[in-house]
Amino acid sequence: MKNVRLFYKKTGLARFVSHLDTMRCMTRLLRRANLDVWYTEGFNPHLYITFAMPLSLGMTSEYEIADIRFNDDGATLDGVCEKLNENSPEGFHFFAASEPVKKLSELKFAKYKAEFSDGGALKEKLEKFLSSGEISIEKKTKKGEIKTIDVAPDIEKFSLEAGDETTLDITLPAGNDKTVKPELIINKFLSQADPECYYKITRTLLLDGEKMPLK
Amino acid sequence: MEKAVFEKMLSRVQKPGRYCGGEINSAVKDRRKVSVRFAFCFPDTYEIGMSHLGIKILYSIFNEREDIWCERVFAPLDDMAKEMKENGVPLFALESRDSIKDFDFIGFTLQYELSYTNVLYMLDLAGVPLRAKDRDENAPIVVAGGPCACNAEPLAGFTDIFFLGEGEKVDLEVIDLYKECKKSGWNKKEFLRKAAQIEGVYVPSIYDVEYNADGTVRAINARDGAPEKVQKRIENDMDKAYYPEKFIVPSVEIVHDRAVEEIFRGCIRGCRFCQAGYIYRPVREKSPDVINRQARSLIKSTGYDEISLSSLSTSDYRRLEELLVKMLSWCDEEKVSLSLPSLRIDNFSEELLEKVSSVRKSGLTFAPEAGTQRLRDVINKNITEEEIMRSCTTAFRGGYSSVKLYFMMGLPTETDEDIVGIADLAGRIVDLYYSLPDRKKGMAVSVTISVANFVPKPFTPFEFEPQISREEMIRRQALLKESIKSRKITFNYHENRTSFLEGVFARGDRRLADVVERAYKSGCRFDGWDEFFNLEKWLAAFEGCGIDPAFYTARTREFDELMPWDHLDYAISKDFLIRENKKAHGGKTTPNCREKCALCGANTFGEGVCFEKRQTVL
Ligand code: SF4
Repeated sequence: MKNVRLFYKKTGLARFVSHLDTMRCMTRLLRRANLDVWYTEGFNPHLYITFAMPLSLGMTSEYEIADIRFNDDGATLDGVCEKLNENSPEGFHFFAASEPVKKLSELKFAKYKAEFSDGGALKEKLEKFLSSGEISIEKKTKKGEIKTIDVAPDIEKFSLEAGDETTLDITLPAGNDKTVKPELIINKFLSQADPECYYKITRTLLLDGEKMPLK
Repeated sequence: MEKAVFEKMLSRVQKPGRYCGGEINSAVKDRRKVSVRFAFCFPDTYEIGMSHLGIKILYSIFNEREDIWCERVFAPLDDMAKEMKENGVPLFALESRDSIKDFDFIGFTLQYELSYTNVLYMLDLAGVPLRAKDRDENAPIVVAGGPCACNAEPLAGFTDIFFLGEGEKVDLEVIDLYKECKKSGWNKKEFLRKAAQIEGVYVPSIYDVEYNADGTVRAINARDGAPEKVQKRIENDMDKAYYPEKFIVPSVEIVHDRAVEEIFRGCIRGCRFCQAGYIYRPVREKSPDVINRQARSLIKSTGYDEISLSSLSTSDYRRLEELLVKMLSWCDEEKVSLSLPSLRIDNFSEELLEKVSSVRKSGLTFAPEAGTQRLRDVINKNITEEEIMRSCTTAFRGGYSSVKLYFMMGLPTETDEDIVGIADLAGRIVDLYYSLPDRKKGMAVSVTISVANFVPKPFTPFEFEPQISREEMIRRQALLKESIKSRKITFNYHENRTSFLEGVFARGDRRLADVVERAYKSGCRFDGWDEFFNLEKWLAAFEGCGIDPAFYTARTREFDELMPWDHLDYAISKDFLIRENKKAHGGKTTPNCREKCALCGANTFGEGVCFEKRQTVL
């Protein structure tokens, strides 16, 4: 058995395929590509596949990770991406397949890019908002209670650019220990600044504890 | 449509994936290189439409031709329709996102009567005039097929062409004629007149309907040399019939998300209430080798890990054992589960049952349809209580503990005794379970009764029968509910308001066009969905048009009444229907096609079960 890590992008309209649907799509895609993948054992065997981190509906991504296994220890990874891409629905593109370097649990941060259709008008307000030192967000706990938390300390890094539209690059905690969803911060900001403003988020990288791309 | 606008619209609606297209195996072509563009419309949501087999077959058949580009269109839900309106986006096809108003054909598949308002809704969203007479030379040709085409008279005023029967060949013949027309510069009228000469094509505008003073049909007259009777088309040899090697694999979940392999068409049984049992006659089977090969290629091209065998009654496939052995030999290895819907356990070998249960099984279901043997004889449902009990015994011993039973309510000659009989039958199954010493221990039995309302349909022996009123449906449902004694029995029943409307349209005529249009304009759509159905609006539409719905549902029709669909020939003779109706009232059953031919008329095709060697002659 050989562990294999697949890296792919999810672009264009594929952003409207939910995480659950993406899992189904991937299974079928792998079956179509006719790769010798490993199935779980037991009464109801299913194709083994694990994702690094669910992607919210509506987001595109430049850097997604799914782990699978090949039955054959010596299986080559040459041509795997090509085979997968030939069998992918629109918007799914595989760009690397390799043996995992780190465990998926080493995922600590994710980098996002948000683009606002604002004509560049929101940049200053957003900058102020993100550096204000306190961003309280309402979050539902597992028990269903609503809790207010301050996510300002969680913002690892951000940068802003304004042209025809304001673009925000932001790094936030992601993974088993802690995850902060960028859309929560943005929605909070827009609810005060411009509730009608349309924006789009792309997850650009998944990072390990050293803030290096998870490999 | 601009991509950014589209994405913005999608980001505001529920389940946006259903409007995206781009799925694997969908057909993307160069619009400049095709000569005919066909919008295949399913008048319901993506999730429902994509689960339907007919659309997959025709979509592939069209797109195999280089000169045709067939694309899919589904009915958008309210939120999307609102976005489309606000952004000035007319109804578009999934593949190209081009507005379908500029297509050559807009084709609807009519699977149920309650989708009629959605046909208007989709034409309207496309910006196409609803009435055929208001559409000019440049407007698309609006065509429709599917089971409801056997009496889609309520839609006659909105449709240019109906396809009767199976569409594999006739659709292409009409497209070829259309191409010829374009080349020769004939106008639409000429095209329709010529199309009417093709077998299986019904052009409603060249048939005039006259009515009697009492509202019944006096005459249906064909004009312009169109045939007096329009014959349905069928595929003669199922082994040679086209079947897609690929299905589109939706990227978002749909209702039936699996590969489907058709094993035969038609049904030998002749249950008297069942329209499908008559309009798809005669039974024509595919051979196991062909099925096996097609199934395998579907699994390869789709990546599905489930395949279901499709037909009206799986157990009636003659070489089922042979087929299953063939299929299971690779299904297991490739981790594909095989599902066999509508399987009757009684004529199954124990060994085979074992094999099937090693793959997924849908659970134990029976469709006695009526609560007493008397009524089962009336409807020609050849299943006895003894058979049900025997199968339940086997299944309970094999570890099953839940049973689903399907019934109908409002059947001709039904009395309260028959209704109570439903509860009693379910009760006896519960008792049976506890009487078996070797049942699986520690499990409680559960029996579910599902009751649908009987709706009389054209081309069945019950096309003459009245449908019971909504009040009566409610009374009988209540009676059944109070007759159920055991808490192990769950009772589900079907919405009575929609059954009433289904009844009106099933045997409706052209005058109902005004009602459909009025109801649509007052906001009715997605009528098959309980949450959208609005009875008040419908009743107001009937009243506004001065039409009494009871005329269509409550009347007993005489045998010599001219039906609005009598110029459509589904190869089921009227004499046969009358004979069967009389037998029903006499409580006499009719053997199935394999036991003895009942001379229904379907043998005119020279194919299928009508010419099989019969083993038993009764
Ligand atoms: S002609 Fe006879 S065998 Fe053929 S479908 Fe009709 S009843 Fe069945």
